[in-house]
Amino acid sequence: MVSPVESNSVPSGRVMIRPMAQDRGSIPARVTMPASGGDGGATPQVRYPIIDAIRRGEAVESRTHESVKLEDHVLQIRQFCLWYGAAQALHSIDMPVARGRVTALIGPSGCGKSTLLRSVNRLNDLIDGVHVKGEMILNGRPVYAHDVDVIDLRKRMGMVFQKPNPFPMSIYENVVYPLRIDGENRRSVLDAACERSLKAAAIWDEVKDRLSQSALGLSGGQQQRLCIARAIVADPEVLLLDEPCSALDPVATLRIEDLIHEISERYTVLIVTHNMQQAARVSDYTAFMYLGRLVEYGSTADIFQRPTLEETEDYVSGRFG
Amino acid sequence: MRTLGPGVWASMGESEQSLSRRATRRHVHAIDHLAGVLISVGGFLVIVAVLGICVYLVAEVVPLFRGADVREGSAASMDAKYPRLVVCDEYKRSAMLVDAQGVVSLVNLGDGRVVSRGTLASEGRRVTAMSRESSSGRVAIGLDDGSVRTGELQIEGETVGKDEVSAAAASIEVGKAGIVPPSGDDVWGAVVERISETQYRVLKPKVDLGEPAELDNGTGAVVSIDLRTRGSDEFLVAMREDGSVSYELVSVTRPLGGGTPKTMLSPVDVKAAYPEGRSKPDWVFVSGDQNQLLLLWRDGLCQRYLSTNVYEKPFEPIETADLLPEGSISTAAMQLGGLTLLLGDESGNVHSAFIAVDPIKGVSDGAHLVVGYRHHFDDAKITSIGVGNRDRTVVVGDAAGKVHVFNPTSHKELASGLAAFEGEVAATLPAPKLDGIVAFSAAGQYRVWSVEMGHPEVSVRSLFGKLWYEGTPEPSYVYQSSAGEDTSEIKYSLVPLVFGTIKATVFAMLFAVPLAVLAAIYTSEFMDKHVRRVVKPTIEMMASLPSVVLGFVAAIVVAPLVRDILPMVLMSFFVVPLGMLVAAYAWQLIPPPATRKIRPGLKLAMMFMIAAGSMALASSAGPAAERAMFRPSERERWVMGGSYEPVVDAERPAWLGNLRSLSPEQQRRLRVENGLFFQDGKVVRAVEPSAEKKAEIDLSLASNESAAPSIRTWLDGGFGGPWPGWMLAMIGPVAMVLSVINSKYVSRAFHEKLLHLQRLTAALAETARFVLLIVATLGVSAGLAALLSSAGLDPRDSFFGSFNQRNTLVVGIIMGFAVIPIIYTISEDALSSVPDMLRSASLGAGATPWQTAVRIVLPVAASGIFSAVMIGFGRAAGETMIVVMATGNTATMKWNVFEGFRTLSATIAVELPEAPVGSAHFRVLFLCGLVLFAMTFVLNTTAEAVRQHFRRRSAAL
Repeated sequence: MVSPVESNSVPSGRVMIRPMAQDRGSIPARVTMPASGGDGGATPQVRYPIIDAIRRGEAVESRTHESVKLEDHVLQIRQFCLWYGAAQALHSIDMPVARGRVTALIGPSGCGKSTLLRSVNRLNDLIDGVHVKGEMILNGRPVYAHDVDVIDLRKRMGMVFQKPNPFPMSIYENVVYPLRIDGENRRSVLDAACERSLKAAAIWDEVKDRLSQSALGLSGGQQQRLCIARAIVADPEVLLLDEPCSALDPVATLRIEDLIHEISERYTVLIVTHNMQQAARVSDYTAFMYLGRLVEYGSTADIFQRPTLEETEDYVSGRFG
Repeated sequence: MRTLGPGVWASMGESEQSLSRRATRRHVHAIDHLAGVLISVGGFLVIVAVLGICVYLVAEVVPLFRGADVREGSAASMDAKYPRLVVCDEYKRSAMLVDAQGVVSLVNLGDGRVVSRGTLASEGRRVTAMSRESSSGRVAIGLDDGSVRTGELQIEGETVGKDEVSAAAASIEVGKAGIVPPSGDDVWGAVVERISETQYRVLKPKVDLGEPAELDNGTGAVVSIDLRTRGSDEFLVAMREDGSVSYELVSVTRPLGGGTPKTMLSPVDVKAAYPEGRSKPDWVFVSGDQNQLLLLWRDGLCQRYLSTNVYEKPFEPIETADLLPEGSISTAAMQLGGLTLLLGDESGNVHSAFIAVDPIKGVSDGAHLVVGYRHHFDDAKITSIGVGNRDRTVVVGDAAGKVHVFNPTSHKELASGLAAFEGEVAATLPAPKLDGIVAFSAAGQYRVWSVEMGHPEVSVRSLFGKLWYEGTPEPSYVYQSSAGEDTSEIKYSLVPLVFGTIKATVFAMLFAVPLAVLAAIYTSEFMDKHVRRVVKPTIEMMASLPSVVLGFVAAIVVAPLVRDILPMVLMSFFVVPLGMLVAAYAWQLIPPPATRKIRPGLKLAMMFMIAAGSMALASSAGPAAERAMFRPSERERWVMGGSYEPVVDAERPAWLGNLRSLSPEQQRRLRVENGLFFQDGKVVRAVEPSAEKKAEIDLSLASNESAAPSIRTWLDGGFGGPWPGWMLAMIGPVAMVLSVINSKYVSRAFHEKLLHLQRLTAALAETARFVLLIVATLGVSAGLAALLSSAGLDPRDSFFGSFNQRNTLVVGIIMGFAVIPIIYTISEDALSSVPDMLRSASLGAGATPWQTAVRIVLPVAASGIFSAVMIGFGRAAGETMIVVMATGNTATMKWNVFEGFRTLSATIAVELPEAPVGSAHFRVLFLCGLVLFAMTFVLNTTAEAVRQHFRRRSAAL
């Protein structure tokens, strides 16, 4: 990577954010201007050799802890690169995701964590000019290959977005939507699935009497739990959570975090968050990304308490970012 | 770029003082204020303008529904009693009264003074009957010796200067009228009105009668007489004491050098034969078309005589009808135009009876006498009916001394119960300029009213209800704002125009809505963004095509083209969508890696190619289907080739009546219902020809245009049964129903089986199912068509029918093109504005783009799409130029796709330039505008209500 790309990487980072209106508004002003030739002056640069190398566009080796490698992996990401047009957003990500665990992606805004998450179920395909290199393997089957049916691939995952996005239909229909589109119309099956996933999403007691009412009448936190119920109704192999709490108040956030704990017993969860405490609270493993590269990846306890890199330590403790 | 450091925010938050330094400048306030004022004024003006237009429209329309505005004029007694016949001048200043003896009195209507007297009798004879035609002023006088005389009886007005009037008039005050008594040569004298200091209006009777001429047959005095004129022709009917009826063509020659004109009578034989047990009738009338006589008895019995040609054939009785089931006639008069009889009865009713042309119910000449309308006034006996000379407004006087004004055509009662006298009204008439009424009592009183008639020919009933117009077989909605003759009835029913507007809109929407909405869904949800950036503005540009251009393209290019390639056009409605579906199924057969390599632009190009290919297929399949389906049957070919025999009268179906010629529709009915044919004025049956005759027929028909297979000849009713039409009409609905049934009940089970199959096998199975569905559609349509045909129904009676080049199909297509861009643009915007996060959520859940579009995007965008459709609806309803140019503008009320129509907007556009300001026609056109406005208003309000309902569902998004 040569240096003009480096200065381009910031606007391109914004492009990354644009399609789903992620992150916007939730970022403190000072982290939106990380580089620009280093005149921001807020961060002393000498202390972070790896970050500096990344800013210069140099390839760095990510620190992946042995603890991760020992796990059984549901998803293998290998040498994965992604470009939005000419701007590269992800640089050779190597990242195994442990089965039945909660893995958190952290990092400053524009670091590509949402892009990486959306690459897993190929939602990025919808954006003009996206192309990828490298591979992802979900349960032994490639995600990026010519003969992959994207629709079938997405059916194997569930996804929850930053902003709660229930469909403008009844609560019941929202939950069973993934089953409906698969042609399931038997009432008994749908009823059972609806109840099961609403219970799993810890919202059953609140909505069981008004399943036929519009989902848009629920509060934000309830809507997000409804979206989680929708995401898990078809038993996904991986559950992708893209900053699920960033649009919620602290109480609702707490409930969602509890919920993530509960469902992690049954599902593999990949969660993007910019809230370090949240990552620490809910995840088993944490990956720290910066400007499209994976910097350090290990168990949450290690990353937050004994990180091998000073950059990671300063980031998780809020001294850098 | 400089950034605000954290410190800036902090200092602003902390310091009150730093905020107070930020003062808004004064001119900013001023601009703000000014803008506020300007915007409110502008908004207010817009509201005022819109309301103003509405108020203006209503103000122009309201006078249509007002009755007459009646003001009392002069009233007095005069020395002239028992008037039988009255004439009034144009200024309501003078009147001529004729009593039963033929004594004429000229009366000054200002004070009732009789100016002079004269007589209509000739020397040594007494007047025994008289009749005057108000529109021409011609009178016919019957005398006691059996002779008649005709002539003119009018009051003529002349404006003269001060020097030309006699001294007697010099003392009249300005604005008043006086009399000039007869003197010397001036046997009548005059009524003189002083218009100004120097100008006088002299009103003099014009009594110009010919020499009496003897009637040839019968004996005794003439007891009843009636006269009509037609151009310069004059004809009369007279009945003598012995009951003999004479019809005479009258010619009056004026001797050179002046003197009394000579009356020449050429009689036409009347083969009078009164109904059983009847002696001579009480009234005789001759119709305005000069070839019918009506003999009327007091109890309502009416006998009609007809001579098809008065110069050659005698009058023969053709029909006897009882016009009055109960009560008896007290007075009768012929309405203006001479085709409607007005009958007043003892109990206060006026009946209007006329000869209705009705081939089915009519007698041997295809017409019969009917009572089209009955109007009840007070319960008093009707004693006089005064017919106007300009329009059909009639003044009626009754035995209680009341006068009523009404229009028998529009049923409008303009004024009723005007109290005139204590006793009965002996004679009454509308003033010649229709600005007043004059009534006379038997006892020698008179009364004059000034009347603003308003618009007698227009009423709520005539605008929106069925009216039985003179000569028509039944009450109907007719719009015919101008007539060939002044005396004709003017027909202002808006119903055909509203119907035309609805028809235009419905067909345009049928064409435009599916295309526009589907195109919008395609562009917003499936089309590649780069292609979309080109396609959307291109379609939007179509909206800027002036509709007049579309109109003349429709009229000059499309209409003749559709006429020439009708089979292909009809076929392409089926083939093009089918071609697309087949292509979609074929697409499934291609392995996915191969399809993924095809660029989006190429995909679009392929779709165009498929559409073009389908059109090409339709161009050959259409004529082929035409040859196979729309051809004469074997029997029809026999008859066309001359192999037939006439049927006996007993087999002639009753509904044919006595028709001598049949319209194509009636011939079709005869064929389809009775299996008979109509050839050379006779009902015939096909006869199977011998083998060599068959070959001969084939040979002779080979070059016969009317025997060649053609959908247009079929539509016109030239040949063929109803089956092919039903088949054509059924395919669409049957395909829809079957595909719904298929997806609801068959699809799921089928798809579950498909799951276990190979991709290619599954696709093949799908395709096979699709082909099966097409075959089933055709089969079911054919079956339904056969069922409907055997039930005796023919689509040519409803949505099909005779073919006109400028027809609804053409307008539907072209007007569809006019509304497609607007529906497309707004729908596309609505679809594009559906939040992307909903699409992501759906796609993330594993839905296909189509599932996402149908289940998520479409319901959310429904309110927007609905608005788009409604705006398109409004545009189609108000569209003018296309319909003016491409519809033929006939105000029919048939759903026939191959016929034109007339819309409200087209009527306004075409007729407003020629409608005199303030006339009924003018106001009716304004009413058209108001009705159009009301229609779109109701539509838009309903639409808005529905839209709000849709929107509430997704309000929280």
